[in-house]
Amino acid sequence: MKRLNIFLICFFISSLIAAQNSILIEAESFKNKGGWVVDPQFVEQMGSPYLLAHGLGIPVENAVTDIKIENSGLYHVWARTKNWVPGNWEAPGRFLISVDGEKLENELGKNEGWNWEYAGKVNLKKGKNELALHDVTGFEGRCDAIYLSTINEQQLPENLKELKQWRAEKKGETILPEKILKYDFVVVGGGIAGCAASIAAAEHGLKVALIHDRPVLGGNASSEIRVHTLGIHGNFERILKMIDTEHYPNGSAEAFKDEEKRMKNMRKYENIDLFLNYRAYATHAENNSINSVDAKHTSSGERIRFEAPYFADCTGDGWIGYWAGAEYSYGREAASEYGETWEEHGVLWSPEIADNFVMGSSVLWGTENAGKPVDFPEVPWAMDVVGDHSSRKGEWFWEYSSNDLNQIDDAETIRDHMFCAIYGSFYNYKNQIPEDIHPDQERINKRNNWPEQLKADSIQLKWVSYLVGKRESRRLVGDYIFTFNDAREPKDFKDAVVFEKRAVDVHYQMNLVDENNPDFLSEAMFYNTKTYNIPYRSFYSKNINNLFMAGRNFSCSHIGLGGPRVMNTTGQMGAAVGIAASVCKKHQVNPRDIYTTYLDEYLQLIENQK
Amino acid sequence: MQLPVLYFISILLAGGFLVSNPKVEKRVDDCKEAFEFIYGEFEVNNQVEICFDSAGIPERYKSSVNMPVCDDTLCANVVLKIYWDLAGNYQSFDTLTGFPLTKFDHKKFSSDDYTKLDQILKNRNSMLRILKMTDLLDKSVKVQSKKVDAVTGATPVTIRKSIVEGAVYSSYTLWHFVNGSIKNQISNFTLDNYSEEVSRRMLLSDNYETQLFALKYFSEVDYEIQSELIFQVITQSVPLVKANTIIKMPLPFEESFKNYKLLSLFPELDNYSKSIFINRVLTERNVAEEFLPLILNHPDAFSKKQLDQINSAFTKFEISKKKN
Ligand SMILES: Cc1cc2nc3c(=O)[nH]c(=O)nc-3n(C[C@H](O)[C@H](O)[C@H](O)COP(=O)(O)OP(=O)(O)OC[C@H]3O[C@@H](n4cnc5c(N)ncnc54)[C@H](O)[C@@H]3O)c2cc1C
Repeated sequence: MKRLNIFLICFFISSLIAAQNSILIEAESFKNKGGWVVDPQFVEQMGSPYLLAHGLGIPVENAVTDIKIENSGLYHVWARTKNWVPGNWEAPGRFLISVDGEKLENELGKNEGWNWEYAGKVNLKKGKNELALHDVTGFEGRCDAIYLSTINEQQLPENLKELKQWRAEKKGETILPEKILKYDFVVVGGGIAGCAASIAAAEHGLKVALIHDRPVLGGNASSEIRVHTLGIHGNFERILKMIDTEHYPNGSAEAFKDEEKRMKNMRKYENIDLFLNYRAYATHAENNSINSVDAKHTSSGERIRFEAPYFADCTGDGWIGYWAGAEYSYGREAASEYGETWEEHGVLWSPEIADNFVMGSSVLWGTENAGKPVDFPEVPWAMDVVGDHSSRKGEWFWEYSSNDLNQIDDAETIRDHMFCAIYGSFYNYKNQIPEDIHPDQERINKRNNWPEQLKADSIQLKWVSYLVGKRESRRLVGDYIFTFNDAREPKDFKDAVVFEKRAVDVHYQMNLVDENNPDFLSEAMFYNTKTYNIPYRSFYSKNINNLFMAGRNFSCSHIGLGGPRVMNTTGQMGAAVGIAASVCKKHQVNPRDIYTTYLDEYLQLIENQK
Repeated sequence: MQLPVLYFISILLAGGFLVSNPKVEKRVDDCKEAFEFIYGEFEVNNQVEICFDSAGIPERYKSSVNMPVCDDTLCANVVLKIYWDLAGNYQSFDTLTGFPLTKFDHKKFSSDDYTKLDQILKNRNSMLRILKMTDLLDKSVKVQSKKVDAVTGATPVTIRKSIVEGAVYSSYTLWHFVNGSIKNQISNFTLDNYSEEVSRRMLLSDNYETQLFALKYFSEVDYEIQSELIFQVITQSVPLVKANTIIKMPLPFEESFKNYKLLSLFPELDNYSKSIFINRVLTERNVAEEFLPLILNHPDAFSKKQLDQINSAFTKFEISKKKN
């Protein structure tokens, strides 16, 4: 009996020590990321930012970090990763892990869905060891985290909830964020809407925090996505000119110049604190009011709680509203719901019954002439998506939506589908053999001498975004829902704050009407309008008392979004919201009270700031 | 395709040649006056005729036009025969011998220009829909006419795809004419003369808008009575039509072999139509009760996500998974 007790105690102590002989490393926290990029877009779906080997077909440089080992010994190593196009081919995004220069035996990135893959075992010395990720393919390999343990643990957590808890335990995270900061106004999402909201509020004396999950501002207009801003400036020309873009072709590197302007102008405002690379992940709301928003650094994992009396949701996806329990809508309403029928385009415009077929997301890309022949690897995993479609550049109409896919929950699937579309179409472009034009073999053999082929041989991928550019997802519900009819027969809203005259356009997938098209191309339908206006009541939540929203997640119907989703218009929304927040603060009231009680004062402020 | 060929032949005829081309079917339309259409902007009155096939069933509409397309002397009137289908969707045009279309400076249309014009007129999403006449010429760039002492503007780059170069006004005017209010007048005329044969012809059209038009007037009982026709529509149409047929059809069919038949079409269906169907299974108990047990016979027809949804419908409606 005594011996058994001693045995049990020894067992307990040894397992305790063993438990300490494990270490969890978040890939995004690697000190030197080499050519890998941090991808925080899908945290809500898969649990964490991750490192992506976005090499456009050329393996990227190693990501390297030091780890400190307390007890030397034999460690088992796992990586949380994913085969992003499973099928009858070698997984496209494979990588290896090395420790102190020694590669572990198993290639990773081979199993379907996010999961832990076993990399191998290695002897680690006490103290500093160097851990590295070696990209093998250059095609979007991904690593979320690496786990080392002296025990060959059979079951690492897969389920998101368990994983979250396990992670927190391994990292010794407390419930409360490390830092708590107080502001007058917290803006989440640094697209054009969020930037404009911050400027307008700061100019009216508020202390503003702008939380944005990327290193640069601008959202879809940033150099990372490269869409130019369209629409008019309305009442906010001065503000919007600080953050808008020239009319460069979508996908153009000219976006950098406008981004520089935007960053410089945003930094000029002393009472805007920029929290770049912080992604909001939770809100704390009580009695239909938000007290705080928590955000986490996308690499270091540092957490900050932001307390404020007013918040603006400019995330595009309506995250803040969603977490706080704000009413929202998603999908296409039935044409009859708001009377949005347009006979010219019938059910393509507005369906008879509500569905989820919203406007899709895009990944922009472009190529350049290398001046000499350059190879592009085979991409068998992309061919199911592209068929024989070939292309040397993307445009706005490289867009993917499906009634089955949610633009938020399935965003990674959508982005990855676009990767296949791009790499597959580019492969076809590089390898076009126009047999049908020149059927005799001799000529085919001479194909390398043809000018077009020569050109294709020298074309290489220059840039492919890894951020999915979204058009439509959650729309938070305000006191007024802006619909197509408000653009078709413009109203004279007494609280009109945003003005637009750009035609309403909504998209549909081309393969719906012509199955010869691949499923990733869209087409636009345009409805011409006179100048219309959007009421202030579409920019605050109906049921969350202190929440504003600006950007494509404002209060509108699917077709209602068709006109004002462009970024000068969403910028106007932001500016309108920023000024409203200042009136709220002055009178210690909620957004709705501006409409009911302080409208004149508010509209006068908008006039004054021009 | 047919169009440039016809044009080519008309040139040959005009030039005194006759080449027999087996592809061109010689056909004399059996047409009669349908209605008069007044195209306001140009104050042109057009007689629209309805044409019948050999069995006397309405087939299409036609109208001869002769309209000015610009306000200067640089372009000639447009003289054409234009055809629409039964729902008023533009089909094709023909030139009349001796009246070729012309471009800037009276230069004749090439056969590529004719093909392009035909495509432009068929494009329901053309930018021309939202452009004004004044948007069409970039007044800052002047183009000198060689024949007439005049200058005119160049075409802005952004709209070059939507027009035949050198024939901007013709492209614009014709697009608005063939896709404008005449479409409604034609479809109304068709409705006034509707019959089962007309409905059938439209449902099996290769124009999805025409099919959707006919679906609108397909009554609930029609689905049961003409289920074979509907299955044919589902089989041979584009996804938009397939899905909208599935949205509209009263389900389940009273006769169960029709339900079997419907489901047997699923493996070949597009994703949109499948998801529309699954949505009905998820939201309508009687559809779920009839089809859930049948679906188990076609597990390969659905994606993993769709199968998850199907499974959740079994639970929701407490339906047993016994195989039929
Ligand atoms: C390919 C394409 C072409 C388009 N063409 C045009 C065009 O030509 N002109 C035009 O004006 N518009 C165009 N649009 C539409 C326009 O870009 C979008 O509607 C745009 O999203 C609106 O701006 P926004 O500020 O609302 O959102 P976004 O630009 O999406 O900005 C929101 C930002 O919030 C960040 N964010 C999200 N969640 C969080 C979080 N939890 N924490 C911190 N930050 C977060 C995101 O990273 C994002 O950058 C196009 C869109 C696409 C995809």
